[in-house]
Amino acid sequence: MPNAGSPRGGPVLARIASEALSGLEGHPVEVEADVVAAAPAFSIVGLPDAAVQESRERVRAAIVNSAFQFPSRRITVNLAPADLRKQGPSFDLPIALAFLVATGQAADGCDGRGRIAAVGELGLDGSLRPVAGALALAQSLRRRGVRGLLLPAANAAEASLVPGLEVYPGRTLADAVAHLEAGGGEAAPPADLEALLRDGDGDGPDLVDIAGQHHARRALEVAVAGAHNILLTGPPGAGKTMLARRLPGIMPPLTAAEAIEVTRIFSVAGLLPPERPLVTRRPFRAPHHTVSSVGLVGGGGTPRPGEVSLAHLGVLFLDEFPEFRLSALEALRQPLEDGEITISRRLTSLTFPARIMLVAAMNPCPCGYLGDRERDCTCPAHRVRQYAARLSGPLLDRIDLRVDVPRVTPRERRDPVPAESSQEVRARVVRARRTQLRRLCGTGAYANAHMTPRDVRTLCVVERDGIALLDRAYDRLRLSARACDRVVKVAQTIADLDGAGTIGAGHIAESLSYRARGAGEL
Amino acid sequence: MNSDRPDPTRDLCVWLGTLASWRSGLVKRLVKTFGGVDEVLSQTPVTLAGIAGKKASASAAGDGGRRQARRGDGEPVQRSEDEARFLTALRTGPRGLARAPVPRGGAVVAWCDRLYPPALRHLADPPLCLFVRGACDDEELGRRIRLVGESMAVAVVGTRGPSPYGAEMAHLLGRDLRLRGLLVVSGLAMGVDAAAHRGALAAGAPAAVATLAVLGCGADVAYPRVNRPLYDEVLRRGLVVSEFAWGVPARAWRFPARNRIMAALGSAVVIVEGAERSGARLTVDYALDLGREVLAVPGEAGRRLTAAPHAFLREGAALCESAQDVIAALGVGSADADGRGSGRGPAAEAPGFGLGSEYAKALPVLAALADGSLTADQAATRCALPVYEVAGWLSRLEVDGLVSLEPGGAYRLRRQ
Repeated sequence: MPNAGSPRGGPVLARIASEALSGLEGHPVEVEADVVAAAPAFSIVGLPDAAVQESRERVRAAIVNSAFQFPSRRITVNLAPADLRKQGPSFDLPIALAFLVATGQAADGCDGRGRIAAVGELGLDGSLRPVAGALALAQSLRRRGVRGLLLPAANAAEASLVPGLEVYPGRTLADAVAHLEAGGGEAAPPADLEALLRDGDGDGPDLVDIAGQHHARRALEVAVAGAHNILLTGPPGAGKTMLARRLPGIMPPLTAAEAIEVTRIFSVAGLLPPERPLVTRRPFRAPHHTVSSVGLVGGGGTPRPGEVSLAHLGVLFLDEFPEFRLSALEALRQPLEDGEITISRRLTSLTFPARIMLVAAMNPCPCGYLGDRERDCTCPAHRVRQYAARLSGPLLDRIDLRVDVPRVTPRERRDPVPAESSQEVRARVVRARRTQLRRLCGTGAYANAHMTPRDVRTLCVVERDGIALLDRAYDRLRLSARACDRVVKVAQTIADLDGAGTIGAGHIAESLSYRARGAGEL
Repeated sequence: MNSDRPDPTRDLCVWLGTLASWRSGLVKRLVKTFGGVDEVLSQTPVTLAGIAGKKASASAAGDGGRRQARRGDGEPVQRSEDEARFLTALRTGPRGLARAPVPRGGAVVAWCDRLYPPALRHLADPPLCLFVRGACDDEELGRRIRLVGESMAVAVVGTRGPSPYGAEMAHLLGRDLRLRGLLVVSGLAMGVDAAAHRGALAAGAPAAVATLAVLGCGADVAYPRVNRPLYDEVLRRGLVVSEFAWGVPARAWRFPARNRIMAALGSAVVIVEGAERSGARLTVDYALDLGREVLAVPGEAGRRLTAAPHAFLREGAALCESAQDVIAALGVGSADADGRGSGRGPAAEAPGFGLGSEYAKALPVLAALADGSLTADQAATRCALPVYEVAGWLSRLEVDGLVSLEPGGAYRLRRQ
């Protein structure tokens, strides 16, 4: 073990590269350690937050417990650039490494071969603990041309999803020092993305388990096929949640790039299970109706992805839809419109992706039994109206399909027609999506739900009897122009599922069965 | 109606009617004290004021105490406000009140007026004056008031939160009764009342009074507020009446009082839907006391909202499936003028439903629905067709007004 201090006995400066996360993006951070022979002190500068400040104690204990020495010198650690706020415990490892290099207890073996960055949290015994956002950090480092990354072994699988970046996992501080001195050493094998995707697909709840509910199932299939948002209305226990949970299983499988995107968000949120480094199923998020708008769309002092971003490329399920705070629902408008959410803070503005399919569910009235065949509704008329009125507003304009989910009687549950599996439905959905992509090429939309009113006029071809039916519906049902657009959009998706080139009266008619009904029609 | 000649009896009626708007049971008390309406009207204002003021304040104190204990904090405030208005009217006196302004399109019909609806004279505690409003000139207003007195009227009452079936029945009764020349009376509340008024307004029969609304607040107050458009429409083509003075707000005690007027005005009362303790039951009880015909629309057994009509059916009320039953009960000639409004569903008609050939495939769906409402799933099972096809046919039938979707997802065949 080398002696503490430089051969000349003067002050020594050590530098270790690291990375800070801000939202989903990484920013380079240089960890510098300076050791001088003065009154013993250990200070960290460079806008550290409380967790970084506490890093001093963890680093001190980890160094001593890893059989290194903690000399009585004045030690200053600087996290550069000094104007970027540093958060979280991921700087423990680079601080410890910089300290060891500065005190001459370790050598940086990377000279001339491209740098190695380090992230990781230290335990008091010198063990390395996983950090959040390893995938995002690795991607960002790779983009900047950093050669390798030293990180806790528990994060290795996730980081090795990034091709071209050498990943050096360590279980302890001593492992990390060994890697550093070797200028890398043995790297973890790169992950086989395709194999991971194949293995992870296919599990999860299946539509086969649902008896009856043919109309609702069909509505879900149409919704998924066109990426339409949908509202399910039905009494408690009718199976709304059960149906919604099966949506990811009938959506087209995640592509490798999409899986990485989703994984990155889960990793930053610290929700990635250690045994599953890659998210292979489309996410399904079901926040409780008491969720705050920050919890729903993201934000906070350290902006974190909200539920709408965690549901990116998957399903956001809002049960008890009218019970959600108005502010939270209002905040959903931007992500539904743009497919991403921008959070502005005093110094920064962050963007999280949020391309979701919204599935809302509600009871038909506060007690839940309005229109139920067996139980009487006990709600006074004005309460039913108030309940429905909570839904009014621009958010409803974004929901193309509505479907009633009545309770299934035991007799219906013993349905002679066997239920279709998610796999069969998904095959149709994938085919319909492919048709849409061809038609929508050049519009920027990827599914029918995202067509603008102009796209609807120019791209959707409605046959003559379809137009006649639409006109009659417009007059008799007093549909708004916007509602008519929605009917055509959904009819287009139905036609795509049908493999039909044009929209016929049958498609329009089915689409009309998923439209919103005004209260008190008579 | 208003006239320029001073008429002390009329002034007395208006004054007592106004006082009664602010204090429940005032007329009843006066009639009990003096033995009859005419005897009351022969008293001097001073005597009446003495009795009205003294006895009422004693009972109000007891009543107020009870109410305060039962209800929230708002009640005492409301009561003291009512009390203040009562005392102001008491002090103003008959002569002063007679000069009070009347809102546009409004008129006051007093007990002693020729136009006072004779049916109301059957009541033990009749309103001493009626506040009437319509959106028309004075001449037309007079004509409408006269028509109300001369027409045979039917009160349609029921719950404020009906099932789609109840709302439809109320609508059809309103429409078909008016088509047969009867006057539809209701209370302009939400639910059955509103449906009955709307049905009558939709009938489009010639010039008679389209419908008559009896309010539990001033005739110039649109309550409940959601019914404002309906209120305006009734003003335009029908008549709004109230025993309560102009601007009197809606209070819980005024609605039972209003119900007795509806019962008295109607030659028959039809109850459409109502829970066990429905306000509509009160109306029917008044009607029974007055010897009016009582009919009840049947519903599904065991449902909350069919409790009241079925209770009356059990006690001997006539069954009402359509306007035809009301006509029969009233014993007026069969006025099935244009063959409309048989009240039976299309199920009873020929199996073609009068639809074009493109609907040939919808016939099994319609046939399935004729036995009762079905969800899309159930209809698909009955017809052995794929659900998306059945859903499409149901939508087309909905567009054509043959079926409607109930809350809960069941499609129901509409009565035509």
